[in-house]
Amino acid sequence: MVTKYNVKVQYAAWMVAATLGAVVLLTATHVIRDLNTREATLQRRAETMARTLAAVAAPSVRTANQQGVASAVAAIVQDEDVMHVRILNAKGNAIYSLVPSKEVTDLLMVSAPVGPGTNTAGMVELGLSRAGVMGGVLGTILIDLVLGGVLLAACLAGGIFASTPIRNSLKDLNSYVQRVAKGESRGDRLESELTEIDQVGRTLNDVVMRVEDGQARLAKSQKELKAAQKEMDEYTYVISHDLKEPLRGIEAFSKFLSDGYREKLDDTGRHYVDTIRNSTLRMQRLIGDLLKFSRLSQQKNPMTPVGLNAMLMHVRVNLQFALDQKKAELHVNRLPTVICDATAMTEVFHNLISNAIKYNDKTLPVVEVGCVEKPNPDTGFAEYEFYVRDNGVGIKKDYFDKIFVIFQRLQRDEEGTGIGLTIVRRVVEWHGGRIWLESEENVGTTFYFTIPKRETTKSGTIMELPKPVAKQGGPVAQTV
Amino acid sequence: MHKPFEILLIEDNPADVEITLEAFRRSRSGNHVSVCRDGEEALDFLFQRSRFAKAGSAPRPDLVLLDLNLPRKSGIEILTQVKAAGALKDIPIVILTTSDRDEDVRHSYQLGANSYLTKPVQFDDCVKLIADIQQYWLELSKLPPR
Repeated sequence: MVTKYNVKVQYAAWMVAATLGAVVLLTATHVIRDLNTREATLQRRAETMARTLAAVAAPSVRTANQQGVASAVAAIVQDEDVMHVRILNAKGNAIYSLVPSKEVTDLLMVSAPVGPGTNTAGMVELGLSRAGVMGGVLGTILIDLVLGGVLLAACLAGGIFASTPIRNSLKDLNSYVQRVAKGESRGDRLESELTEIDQVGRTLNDVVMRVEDGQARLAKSQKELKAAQKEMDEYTYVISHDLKEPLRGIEAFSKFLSDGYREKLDDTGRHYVDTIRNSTLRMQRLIGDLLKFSRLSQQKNPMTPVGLNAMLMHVRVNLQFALDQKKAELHVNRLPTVICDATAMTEVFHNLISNAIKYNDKTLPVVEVGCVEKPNPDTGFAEYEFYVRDNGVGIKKDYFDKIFVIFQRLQRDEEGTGIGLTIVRRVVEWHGGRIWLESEENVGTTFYFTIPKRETTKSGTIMELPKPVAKQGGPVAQTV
Repeated sequence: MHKPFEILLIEDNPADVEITLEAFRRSRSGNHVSVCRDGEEALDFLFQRSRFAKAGSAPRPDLVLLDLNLPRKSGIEILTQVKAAGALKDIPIVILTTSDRDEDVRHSYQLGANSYLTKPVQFDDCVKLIADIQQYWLELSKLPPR
């Protein structure tokens, strides 16, 4: 966890630290210099005083006139800093001594020979108190500290003042970035008096423009794709519709021929007519399925909650003939209620189960329908995975992709048109699901498809984004 | 009963005309069917003008079977004009077309069509449909007095 400070506190802290350092350094230098100067001045004064005293007191020292020495001292030494005065004769004995009774430690001691020249008659010894020096230095420190304090306050104020434009710019930047995040920055650019932040604003603006351009392009191509898809569907509809028109003629007139002229034709002629009739029937199925396909794509019904077990009962009724004919069994496990287009979803189950019955050569064809709730492997959102399993002829792996392509058939049979699985895939995909299969020849095929688990809100609207689930999938229920 | 009834079939596709007429024949209703093969001809027939101005050349139909996709004047236009004309608006008009587009169905009813049927592909279904139309509109329904 990083401790966070705002710009103002940062600025103030650095200003105080820097100023404090500078003040301490300057004060120390100043004090040391001041101390040295005052010490030197005191030294000079003491030495001058000692030399003067030596000169004045010299006759009295030579004559050992104590009275004279004392009056010389009294005349010269009037400085109250002088704490210690001793005058020694040539033999080194003190002929005058004024020494402070208690030990005064911090004294500046100087001495001067009683001249003239090398003819030394004695020695003058002076001791000056340093108290004055210390007092002066203390005063200097005090002044320095006061000035330092003023400087510190000025710098602090200056620092805070100097940080204001940065803080304001950062605030602007922050609100701009927030607007960018919400997608409300359209058209406006961040401008700042600070070149660095202005640069950031410029760059951000570039990024926003590029993202918006990209979004616009994406929206445009999506729109185009949708339009193309719609056009394609419409095209399919119109084509298959228009094909119906001549087909009606072929159907009717071949029937007239077959009904009314059968006797007049020979075997070959009858065969031709029958072939026309069969081809016409097949064409009708193709066009019918094609129309169903385009209608399913074009007229999407509203998504509603659909109980799939009830739906599968209808599917079973519709397939009853095929089930009876093949003596096939259809097992439907308990299925959930899903939000889907009921008509389209019926088509999915009908087609898959119908195929499972149709492409089955076992003595007891069995078709099983079931469902497992699972999280989507990519998104983690909950989805239902349905399966339609049969014990039929199976499909070669090479054809797994091919079977979903429109008009692709693996067997020549009278009824199949090759549109059923295309419809199935289309419906599954527009519901947001995936479809795949597993198959083994002569063992059977299982088609799997998923439908995202959508939730309805209290108001009845259908949530587009399903909630993610944590739990692993398990069977929804047992066989009913 | 005013049998035989007068029926007007407005249909441009010759095959469809023949199929429908054959279906009428097989229904053995004994009704009389006139055929108009384009929109303008149909309007002339209904309004008994230009070449149908001569009395008796264009009997007032008891029932009109109208295709929507016609050359020159569309079925929708015929429907609009007939339903706007006071003298003709009480003639039941049954749309018999290939289109099953929602907008065509809705538009036709909005303009006053009395029924909307799509042409079956199978001829057998066609025969049944023609029989049903005659039974419902000409025998079960009470038509406006002539």
